[in-house]
Parts: sequence; C-alpha cells; structure tokens
Amino acid sequence: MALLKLEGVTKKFGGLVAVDHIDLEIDEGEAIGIVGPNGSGKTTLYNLISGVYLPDEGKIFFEGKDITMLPPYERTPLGLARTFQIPRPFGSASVRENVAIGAMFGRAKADVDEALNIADEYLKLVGIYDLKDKEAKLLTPLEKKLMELARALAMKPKLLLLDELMAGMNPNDINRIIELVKKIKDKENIAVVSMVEHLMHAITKFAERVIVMHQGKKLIEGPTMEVLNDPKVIEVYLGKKLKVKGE
Amino acid sequence: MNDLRRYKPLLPVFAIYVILLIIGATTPGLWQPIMFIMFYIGIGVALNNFLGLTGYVDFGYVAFLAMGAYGMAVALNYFTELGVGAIALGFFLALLFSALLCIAVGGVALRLRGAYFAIATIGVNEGLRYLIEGARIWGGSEGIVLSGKLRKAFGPEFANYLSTFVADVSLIIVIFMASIITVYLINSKVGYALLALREDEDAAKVMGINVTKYKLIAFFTSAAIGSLIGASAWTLKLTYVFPEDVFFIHYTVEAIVIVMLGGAGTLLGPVIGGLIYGALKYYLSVILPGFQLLAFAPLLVIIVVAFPDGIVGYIRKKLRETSLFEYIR
Repeated sequence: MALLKLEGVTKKFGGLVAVDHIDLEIDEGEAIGIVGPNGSGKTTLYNLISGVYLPDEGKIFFEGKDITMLPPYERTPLGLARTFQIPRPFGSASVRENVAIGAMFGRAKADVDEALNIADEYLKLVGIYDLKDKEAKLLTPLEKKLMELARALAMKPKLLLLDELMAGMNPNDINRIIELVKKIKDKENIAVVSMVEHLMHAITKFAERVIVMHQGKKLIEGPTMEVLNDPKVIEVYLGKKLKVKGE
Repeated sequence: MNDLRRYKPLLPVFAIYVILLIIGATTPGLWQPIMFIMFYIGIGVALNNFLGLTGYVDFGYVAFLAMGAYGMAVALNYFTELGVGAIALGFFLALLFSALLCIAVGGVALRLRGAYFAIATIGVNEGLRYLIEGARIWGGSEGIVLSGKLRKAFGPEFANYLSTFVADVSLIIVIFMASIITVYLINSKVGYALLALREDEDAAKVMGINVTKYKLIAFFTSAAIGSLIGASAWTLKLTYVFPEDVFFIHYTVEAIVIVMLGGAGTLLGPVIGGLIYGALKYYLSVILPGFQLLAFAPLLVIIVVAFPDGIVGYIRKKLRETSLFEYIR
C-alpha cells in the first residue's frame, strides 16, 4: 500500500487550473524530487497534500485512509510534516520552543518536557543548537530554514515535504543538508519529497525518483537521471529547439 | 522537578499582591484605593488570558463581567431563602451565564480572524445590553437592587459584612487563582498552541494545532475569570446591578490598555499594567479631578511608543540570559 496516494487531484483558482488531474503514489522511505518551473503548480500540490487547500476534484489517501476533506491539523498527526518556501517561524518564541511545538502537535505527540528534549536533539542534528534560546525572528534566513527542518523532523513524520529547502544556500550547506536529510530518512524510514525549481544538481544527489510538473500537469515521472535528460523536460525549461529555415 | 521551576514566575506576582494587601490593611484609608487597583489588576489578568495569549481583541469583554454580575444578582434576588448558599449559587450562575455567552459568541465569532472578530464582538456587548433593557429581563433598565433584600434575609450586620468583607476577599481569591491559571496555561501544551497561533495561525494549523479548539479554551478561561470578578467586585460589593453600568464598554477599553501597557501574553504584565493604571487613575482623579483622562492620554501614548511589547516585555528582553529571567514571565 502506498504511503500517500493522489487520484485525479485538481485545484482551480477562478479560471486558472493550478493543479490538473494529478495522480501520484509515494511509498514509505522513498526520496522523491518534484521539479518544475515557476507557476507549474508545485506549491499548490503541497498545499493540497498538507490540507491548506481542499481539492475541487479527486481524492487523497494517506496509508489507505481517505484524508481528502480533513483539515490540516488532523492530517499532521497522521505523520505529515512540511517546511515552507518562505520560512514561517513563530517569531517571538525561542528557537527551541519552535521546534518543541512541532514535537508536541505532530505525530510525535510529545508532552511539554519530552518535546523540549526532542527539540534539543534535532537542533543538535541540524547544527543550530547554539541558537536555541534566541528569538526565532532574529535568525538569518538560512538559520530559519534549518530551524524549520528541525521543527518538521521533530514531528516524527512518515512523509516530509520540503519546499525549496535548499534555495539560496551555498554549495557546502546544500551538501551538508542533503547528507543530513538522507541520514535521517534512512534511520527513521521517512519518505521525503523535495521540491525545487532550479537546483537540479541537488536533486540528482538526493532523489531516487523525479516528477516534473508543467502547467499543473504531471509532465513525466521516473528515475532521476533519465527524467532530467528527457527532451520534454529540457523543452519545458529552455524552450523548443529553433528550426532555422533551409537547414 | 521541572514542574515546580515553571511556577517560579508566580513569586513576583504574588509578592506584589501581598505587598499591596498589607499596605491596604495597615494604612488607614488605603484599603479602598488598593481594592480599586486590585479590580483593575483583576480585569487585566482575566482579559490577558484571552487577548494576551491568543492575540485576538475582544471589544465585548465586559459582557462577561456583566454576566457574572447578573449571575450573582439573580441568585441573591430570587433564591434568598438559600441563605449563604445563595452566594455559592451566585458564583455558579456567574460561571454558567458567562459560559453560555461564550458558546454563543465563541462558536461563531472565533472562526473570524483578527479585525473581523473585534468588530463582531463590539456588537455582542451592546446587543446584549439592549436585549436585557428592551425585553425587561432581570428588571430591564431598572436593574436589580439587592440592599433591602439582603438586609431582610441576612440582617443588616451580615449584609454589610457581605459587601465590605466577603466581596473584597472573593475578588482577591479570584485574582490569585487567575494568575495561577495563567501560569498553568503558559506552561502547558495549550500555552504552546496559543503561542503558535498568535504568531502565525496558518502555520500553526499545518503544525497540527486545532486552532479553534485552543482559542475556545482561552476564551472560556478568560470569560470565567471575568464573570467571577463581575460577581464579586460589582454585585457583592455594590449590591446593585444596572445594565448601563455593567455593559459599559469603557471597562473593556481599560482592560485592553492594561494588558497592552503591562505586556500582552505575559504573566506579570497585566499585574504591572493594572497597578500603574489603577493607581494613576485614582490619584489623577484626586489631584486633577475631571482632567484625569486628559492627563492619561499622552502618558499612555508615551508608554506605548517607548515599550511596544509592554513594560514586562521590555524587562524580559533586558533580562534574557540572566538568572532573573525565569522569574519574569
């Protein structure tokens, strides 16, 4: 049984079909990349999976359970966690409290003391333990992203959705984060979906399977290298090869 | 032993209460001013449990004090034969009436965000007042006057004892309880959920927090404390209830000012805020009778500009990473 299954999921905003009949299956412990240019419906897809939006058509199943109409706060405890493209820290809370909140209300369902311990553990893991007493709004953008990763991991999810986690990071940080996520994923058997717009080399290092989205539809899906070298994918990003007259 | 440590912030709060009460009890003529200040501390602490912890502004808050005042008045007026039991019934009715109002307002209005919620709550307070006056419920606009009845039922001595001693003592107990409840909420999962939804409601939902549930918990708690204050500081103490007094929106605004001044969402904030506001209001009305509001406005502007997080918020920032930090919340 697939961990997450989408059947013909569609979301429209007025006349715009942001996500158009997407079918998708994700198994336990998989590492998946979702790529696509700006406006291809990636973030909307995340919002549909996490419950921020309800789909206009289609069904969503998590471990075989129909979660299509569940509000986000009932999906999360089942084992979903996500980060945001633009980090959304709870600004006036400390970094430690931010991560602890994840542990309290995610699948971990820890009580306050447990949650604070879990928070320390994951802050050490992502390497920002020194900042634990700082107000979250005072962090740098990179630190905020790491805090969001720690917060999502502290929820002990079965499925982790990363939204442009590595955008704006330098290559060293990207490599470190990829290694870190891989290590935790293997240790706790988490399925990780990583969404990127342009960081193809990061995806090649991380994902076993890639899904390319274009104008709300699934353009192609398959093993990472195969997909990224597909002419259709190159066309989506770079445009059609120009045919010069007389050639 | 983590648990006891979390209650440390109660020490400065209780110290302030005790010092105030000792000053009031030992200095002739100061008991009433101290109780006046305690009332403002009380409504600050009560409203803080909602406004401070959720970030939602309830302009109809005084309606909960009114429900408490009416709960006590109804018990003393219609169930006098219960004797002292009528007072217990009064506190029960206070809680019951405010809880009913909570269900009516909270179930609907708490689904609204920010400013929409504030607007909806203004209507509740005024609407309820005109309902009571217009439909002549509980004496309509003539209110409920208890002094004669109390004297007949309990004798003049005990009736006097009720409004001078019992009313003050029950207000003090309610305020102590309210601070304990605040610290309990802040330290529990509820407090963390409220912290998250105050900062970013949508992100909180995605984190697995049922925001409506936690807002309702804060709303009920705050309303319950407010109703007990209304029952003791108004009905028991004054022995009458008039709708235009108990639904006076001025009290809501004062409570909001106290919470903001002291520091919204902190334990100590509304205590400091209530202390400053109550004391200033009392002495300004003595020194500059009639001008107290005029003198107050610029003072408040200065304080709000200088301390946007409230006085206690400012102190907390300064004390970060010192050993005193865990005592101030």
